[in-house]
Amino acid sequence: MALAARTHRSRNPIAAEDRIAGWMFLLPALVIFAVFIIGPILYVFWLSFHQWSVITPEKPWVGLQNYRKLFSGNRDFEIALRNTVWFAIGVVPTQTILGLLLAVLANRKIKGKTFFRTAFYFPSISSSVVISIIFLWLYAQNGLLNAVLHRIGLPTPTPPWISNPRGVIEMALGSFGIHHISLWLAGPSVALLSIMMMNVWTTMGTMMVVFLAGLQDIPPDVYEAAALDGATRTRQFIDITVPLLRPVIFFVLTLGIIGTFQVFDQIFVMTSGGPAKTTTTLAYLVYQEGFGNFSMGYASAIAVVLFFMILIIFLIQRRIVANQEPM
Amino acid sequence: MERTETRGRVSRRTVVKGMAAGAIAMPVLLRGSGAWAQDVTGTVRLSGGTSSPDEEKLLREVLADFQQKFPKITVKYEPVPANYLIKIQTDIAAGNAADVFYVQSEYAQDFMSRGVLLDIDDYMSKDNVKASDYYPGLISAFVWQGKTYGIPKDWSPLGQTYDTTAFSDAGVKAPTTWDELRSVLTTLKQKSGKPALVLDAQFERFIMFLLQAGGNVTNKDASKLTLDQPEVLTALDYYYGLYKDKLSTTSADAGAGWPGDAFAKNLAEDVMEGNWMFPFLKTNAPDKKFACAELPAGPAGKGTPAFTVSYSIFKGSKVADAAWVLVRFLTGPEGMAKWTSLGLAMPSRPDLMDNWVKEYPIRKPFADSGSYATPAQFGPGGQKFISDADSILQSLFAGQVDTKEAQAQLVTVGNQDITLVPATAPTGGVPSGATPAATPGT
Amino acid sequence: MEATATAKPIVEHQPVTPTTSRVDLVLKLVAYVVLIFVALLMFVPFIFSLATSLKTSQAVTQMTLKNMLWVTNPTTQAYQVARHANVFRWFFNSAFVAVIWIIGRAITDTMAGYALARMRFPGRNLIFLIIISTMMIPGIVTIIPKFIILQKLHLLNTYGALTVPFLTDAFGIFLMKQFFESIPIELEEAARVDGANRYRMFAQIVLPNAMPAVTALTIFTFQGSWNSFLEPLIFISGSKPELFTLPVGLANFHQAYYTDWPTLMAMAVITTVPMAIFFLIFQRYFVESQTSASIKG
Repeated sequence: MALAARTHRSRNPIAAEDRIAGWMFLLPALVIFAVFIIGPILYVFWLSFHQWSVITPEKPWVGLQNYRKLFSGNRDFEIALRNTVWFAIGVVPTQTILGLLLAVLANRKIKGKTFFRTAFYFPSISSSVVISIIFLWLYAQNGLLNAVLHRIGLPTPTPPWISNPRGVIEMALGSFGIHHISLWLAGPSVALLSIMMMNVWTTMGTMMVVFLAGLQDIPPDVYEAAALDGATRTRQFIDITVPLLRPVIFFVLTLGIIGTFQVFDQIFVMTSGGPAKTTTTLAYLVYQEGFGNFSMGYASAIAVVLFFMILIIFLIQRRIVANQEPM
Repeated sequence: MERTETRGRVSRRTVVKGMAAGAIAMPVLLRGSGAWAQDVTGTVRLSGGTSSPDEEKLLREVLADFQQKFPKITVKYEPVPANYLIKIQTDIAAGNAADVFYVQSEYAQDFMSRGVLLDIDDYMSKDNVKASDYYPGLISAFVWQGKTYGIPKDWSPLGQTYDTTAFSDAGVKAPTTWDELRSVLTTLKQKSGKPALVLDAQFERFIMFLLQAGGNVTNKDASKLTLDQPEVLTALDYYYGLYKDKLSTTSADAGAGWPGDAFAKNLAEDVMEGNWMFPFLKTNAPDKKFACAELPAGPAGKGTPAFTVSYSIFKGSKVADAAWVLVRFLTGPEGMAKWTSLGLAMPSRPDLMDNWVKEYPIRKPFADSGSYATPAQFGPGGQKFISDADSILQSLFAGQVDTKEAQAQLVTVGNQDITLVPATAPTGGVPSGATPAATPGT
Repeated sequence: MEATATAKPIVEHQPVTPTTSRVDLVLKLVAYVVLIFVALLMFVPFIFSLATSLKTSQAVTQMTLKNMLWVTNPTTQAYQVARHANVFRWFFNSAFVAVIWIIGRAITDTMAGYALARMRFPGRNLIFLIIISTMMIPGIVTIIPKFIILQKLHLLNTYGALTVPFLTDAFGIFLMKQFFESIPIELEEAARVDGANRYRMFAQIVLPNAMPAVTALTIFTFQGSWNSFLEPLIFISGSKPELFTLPVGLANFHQAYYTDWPTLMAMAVITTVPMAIFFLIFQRYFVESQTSASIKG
């Protein structure tokens, strides 16, 4: 269809008019984009080569100093990077796999499909601030989660969930008598894990709904043919469903990674980056350095690095999808 | 950042019938305030963090008094209930800062050293306002390189607040030394089966033990970091020892938002907080029976941090004269008497303390600690140091580092965050930085 | 995968499998059990918050598991406190801001999307690329420059700060472009023959036919505005609580009184319920617009 449209357009008799009309139609959007998005981005780039305390008008040029500070073993940046990477590693595959599994389960003749879809989708339409506050209460020492764990006789973490800075892998290995592992391998802290679980809870339903639509676009005769060839359900899933869903999977993964690199609201409301900085993500660090530590130039440099990291992920995803456009 | 900052958190819903208390605020003549102030005109914007509607309402009343006295000056009050530091920074960045705003001692040096605030020495001498009208330890927090950039509007030390019922049931009295504290907490725990003291992993709580051990973040003239001294380890060992031996617990562990909250919910029998406790208790636990005591003394004697906030004038203010007249009034005997009349805040003027203590006798130990309180101020970059140090103490409490390692990390972040003052003779005889303030008791 | 950005109902293809029905039955049972369990997981936090909001602060300190999800002596005390904290004003602000966003984007996004889909003019591809790439910029990155610009425009601490920067968005333009590319061009050509120019053609022919996509756009916009947090947090002074939106008011309240769970939960309920009602009414569109947008990648 895209091709057809293009052919039509080339014969379009009003092409000359469009040279002006096109820009007129774009104008309202472009003005806002230029003023509130493009301009600010350029300004942040500019700022990242300057020093600015926010409270003084002077913004002296410092060249690459802010970037050097970032890459010369700055502890806070490393911590934030580690937290962000753990967050993405934990959340993105989990929400994708759970979403896909739920979609496969729901993609059959069952009653109440609409109900399930609605129920699973609901958390993702609620405000992140509201969800964060509800989960703060849920995770409190005297909150619901601990009450449930007590009831079924499981231990609860001390300090409680979002106040606990201990790495989960470190804790697990600790119970086997392995101590003193590297900071990167210690894993996300219990606090970060709590926020990750909340994130999966919020997005899992959206993923499911997306996959469900993808599944329903797979023509049933493909499965029929496979079944006639004697393929088991597992084989059908691996050989037919997953390959056909690949574009959707990549889309979901990219969105997921970009989303996790931007996590801010939850951190702001729930932990302010603590305990022991274990929930300080890159986006939160930008905020903290800029507004808490009088270093807006440095914060801008972090923002620029964050921007390029997301850009690279986006480009890699485009490349992969472009290479295997199956349809 | 904000959520660890429990001081200043008082609660709403207190029914303010402030007039009885207001009666003690006898009108005092503005000493030395020249007649010139009467002719000053202008509209002054005043901005400050506020932690409760009561506080806001009270300040509005004080401002109404001001308005009556100086009808030619109009005051626009802009209270900020949360995220105050961000607010003030963005306003300054946008050239939109209020003419008069609060500055907290922790980041005062960051503001003063960057030339954001107006030097008020000339105004002070013009109106015969003397630094000695205020507790020296408090006003020195707003002095930078010999110049004054703000006047403390109120202050609070840390002190003990304890549950009198629990204490008398267990047959103990308020502890006065570190050893007594441990033994009292042990007795209380035997009685109730749970830690009696709620004390968080926060640098601005740890600092009291550090001061009691005879240490501090820097030396007196803030020219040298002293975090590598043995006192730091002594304080860390004692502080963490209470938690490790389950004599104290944190508010998160107890299921509360902050120690005062734990105390109000009967999850703590002893807490070490500031004057902001009392309005909170009045609202949230009106029937609770409690008493106060000074903090227990450590190996180097008594010690407590003094938290204070100034009224400062924005350097870019176009109505500096009017702004000064307002600051002068708010920090003068009359304005401050009214401001502190409901007990939401403690006066930073020694001349008002006697009356205040008469009104709030139970809080006398808080007032008494004025004689040795040290301002909570750790040099430019102190704000960042506090948040980095909090993080180290949280690791310590979670058992990730031991006290030795914690001290080593404190030294590292101290070096990294704090800009030391060159070790020259302090100008004007008023040392900036962490000044152990001798504030005359009452 | 030629899905369109329309909100058409999803065709219900069922994988037809000729395998034995016993396996099917077991699988179906497993599916039900898992789905019901997960659905419960989705609802429990909301039930928990609703139950808490109907209690007193005293009742909340001593809670058993049963108490947490059930209320014996319901009280609206927390809702009274929430009302005094101005929650309904915040609610109004959020709703008002959402309406402005929706109107703004319905205009700018459809126009821009149409131009990018149908018109040929120099710079078109570059503009599209730039617009799309802005989707990747985290809000925190540009917050300070935005703040300074709003200050220069004298919009800080006004409804202008909450609306003007948001009157267009990259995703909406993308959505509308996809939609316009998917609808047949014949109608427009017929209008052209009748002598209509682009502007009339857009207003009289294209827009009336774009209602399904505009519905999807409205839903996304509402969702985005209702949840927007960082910008209103920075752009509205803490000293202007009468301009707070719900999330900002809630976060501020939480920072000031952070363990008053009943009131916080009451505020959460007040924030969530309108969203839930809106969602239930437009449920079909919600889910489908999300789906179609995603599948387009």
